[in-house]
Amino acid sequence: MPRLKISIVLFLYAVIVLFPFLSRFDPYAIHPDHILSSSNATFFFGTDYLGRDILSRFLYAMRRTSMTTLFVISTATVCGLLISLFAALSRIVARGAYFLVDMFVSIPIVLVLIFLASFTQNQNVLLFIGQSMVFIPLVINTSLPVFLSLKTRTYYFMCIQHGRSPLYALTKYGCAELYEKLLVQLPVYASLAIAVETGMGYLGYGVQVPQVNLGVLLAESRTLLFENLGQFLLPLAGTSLFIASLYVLSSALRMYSLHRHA
Amino acid sequence: MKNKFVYLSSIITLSSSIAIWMVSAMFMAIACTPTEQRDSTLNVSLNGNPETLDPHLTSATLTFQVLKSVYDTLLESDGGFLLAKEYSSTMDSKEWLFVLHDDRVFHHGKKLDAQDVKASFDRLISLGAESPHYQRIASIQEIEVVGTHQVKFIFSEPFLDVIELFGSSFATIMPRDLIENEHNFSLQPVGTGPYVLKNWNANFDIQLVAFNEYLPSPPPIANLTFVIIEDLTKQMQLLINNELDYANYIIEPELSILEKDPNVIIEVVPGSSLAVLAFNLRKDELKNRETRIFLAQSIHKQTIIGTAYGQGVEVDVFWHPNNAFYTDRRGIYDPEAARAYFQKNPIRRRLSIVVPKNYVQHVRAAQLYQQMLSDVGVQTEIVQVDFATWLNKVYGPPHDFDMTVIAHTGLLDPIQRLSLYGRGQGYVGWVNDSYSTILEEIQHKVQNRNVKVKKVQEALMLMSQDYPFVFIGVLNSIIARNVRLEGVRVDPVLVTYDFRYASFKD
Repeated sequence: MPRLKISIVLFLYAVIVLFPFLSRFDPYAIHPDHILSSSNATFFFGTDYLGRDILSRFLYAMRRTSMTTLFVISTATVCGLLISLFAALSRIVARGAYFLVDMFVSIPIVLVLIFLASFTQNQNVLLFIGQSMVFIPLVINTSLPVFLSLKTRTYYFMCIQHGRSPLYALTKYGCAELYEKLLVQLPVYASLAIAVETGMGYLGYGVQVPQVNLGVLLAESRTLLFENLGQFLLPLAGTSLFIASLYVLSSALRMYSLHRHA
Repeated sequence: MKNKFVYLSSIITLSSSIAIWMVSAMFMAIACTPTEQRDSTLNVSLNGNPETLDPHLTSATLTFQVLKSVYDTLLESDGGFLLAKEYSSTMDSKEWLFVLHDDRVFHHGKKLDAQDVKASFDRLISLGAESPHYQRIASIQEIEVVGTHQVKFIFSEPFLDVIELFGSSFATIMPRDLIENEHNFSLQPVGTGPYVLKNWNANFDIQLVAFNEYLPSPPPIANLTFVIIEDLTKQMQLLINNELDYANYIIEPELSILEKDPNVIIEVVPGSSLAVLAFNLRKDELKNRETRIFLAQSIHKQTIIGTAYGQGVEVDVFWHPNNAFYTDRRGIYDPEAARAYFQKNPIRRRLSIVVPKNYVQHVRAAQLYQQMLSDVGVQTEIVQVDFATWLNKVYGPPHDFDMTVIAHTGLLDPIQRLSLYGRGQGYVGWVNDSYSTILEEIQHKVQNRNVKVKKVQEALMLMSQDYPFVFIGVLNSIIARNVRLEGVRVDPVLVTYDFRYASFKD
């Protein structure tokens, strides 16, 4: 059963990533003669205020969101793990890391982004910084206690006694111990990343026109809430499906891991 | 012990419920404002936060849309009298005498006199290049106070554009005592206008209250609030909910929804905002005239007007068609030729189109430009910035943009508008000696009106053919107003609002 769930979710992601290449219209292509069309045989979900195909834009937005999430999560995981590793080796770095975590958790991201927006207009940089601020602390919170606890284990001392460096020992045993934990946690982090990106896009951050993500689609379509409900429901359903599928993936991975150990 | 705990928790629950009920009731009372009280406030949408409220320091329409209710000028923009009750000139048109009303009062209680007029224009002159209007008053040689309510303007050369100067939004009259005390007019404007500034909550609203000593009569509506709204959906919702009474620049899809609402009336006011795609000629890629011509040939103007701005009239010169100075010229739309040109002469980098994000229409236009330019092989990136950053990037050195989308408003006089360009000044950095020579002639030598019109048309042609801008069209204002609101006047040239006679009908 967990394998089936994992396969379904992974298939879904493959469709999201591949389908925009098969979509009928360029998500940026403007059709001035079809502005604000309702659903029809050509444009299945209608068009927006510039006559762009809503469905193509939605598929593109899903793809963009999944790609940026993948990028941010992998970067944040690498950065978080490296910080945790060095924090486990040095008490000063550990204090700094925990300070960083406390600080990022306590400051509202949106305020920081508004502050940063006065320095850079590059929306991709803003998005990356915003999401990193959320995920690096999460990865540190997950991995640092594991690395620190390793230092009390016998096999860690034995490894050191055999002439290996502490860095090597921590990396070897830490990664082995964290591997499954992170595999279960990362889809949850990814769902949070999608929520953050959608929220930022809705508020006008993280995307530069004419690029689009699910948040931008939601913001654009809310005017038409009572006029063309489909346009509003499409990004809403997309976001929900995205987040729900990641939770399913996480739970399936957890079950799979339990089955394997059993 | 258990009973005590139950007793205590019951009291806490009960008192919390009462507190919540009281707070809710309070909010309900605020929300359900009686109609009478509601009618005493006119809520007007403003598309962004003004950078300043000092009319001498800005040319931004946002500022003047607010200040039209705070300050008065000597004349109305259509030539009617405002603070002046009469004016006359010498035969050579070098000296102009204004006679002021003797009963007009400033918001802080001081009576208006000729010294205030002199001090206001002296302030403008003393600001020099710090003021964007400096060139427009450059020919004022001296301002002489002739009597308590008589002031004479002496020009260095014959001056005929009296209405265009003294009816302009920036030519406001400020109190001399506050000017001398270096009062901060940027935050606290004090004028003789129908409304007094009460509060400016940056990025939220600007609250004004009626000036009861305003003459000929105080405005009927007691409070005027400019609600700063950049989000068009929010603006639409507020209009539908009767929480907003007046909004300009309505476009699709909000327009179609508002048209169906019985509480909202849509009006189209013929305007004179001139939408352009402006090039920064300081950039290497845009210095070449041929490049600019082919960039212009890839733009389908009617699509831009219809899709991004709603309504307007296509033009190809820097002036509006219903004016004597206008001359007709038709640019060519030929994307095939443009594509062929850019295949041979590719632009090797992405050109930036810098747009203020609070102007949704310009952002839409930028997306259309991007698509049209991409179709002919020119790659661009849209840089959306807030209004203040846009002003700095475009108007301030080092003019950090390749192209920008803008609608020019606020100038009554074509010669003054045209004199902002041609010598490398202005945000486009356009240099054209023939054009500058013609403008010199118009400003200093030509007296005959017919000759002047011809010369202006010649200058317009020169500018149009050199393409520092792609002129798109003169835009109409699409206004949504509360069905009960009447008497609001929109200045078609300056796109400012006159709320002196506005009222809610029963």
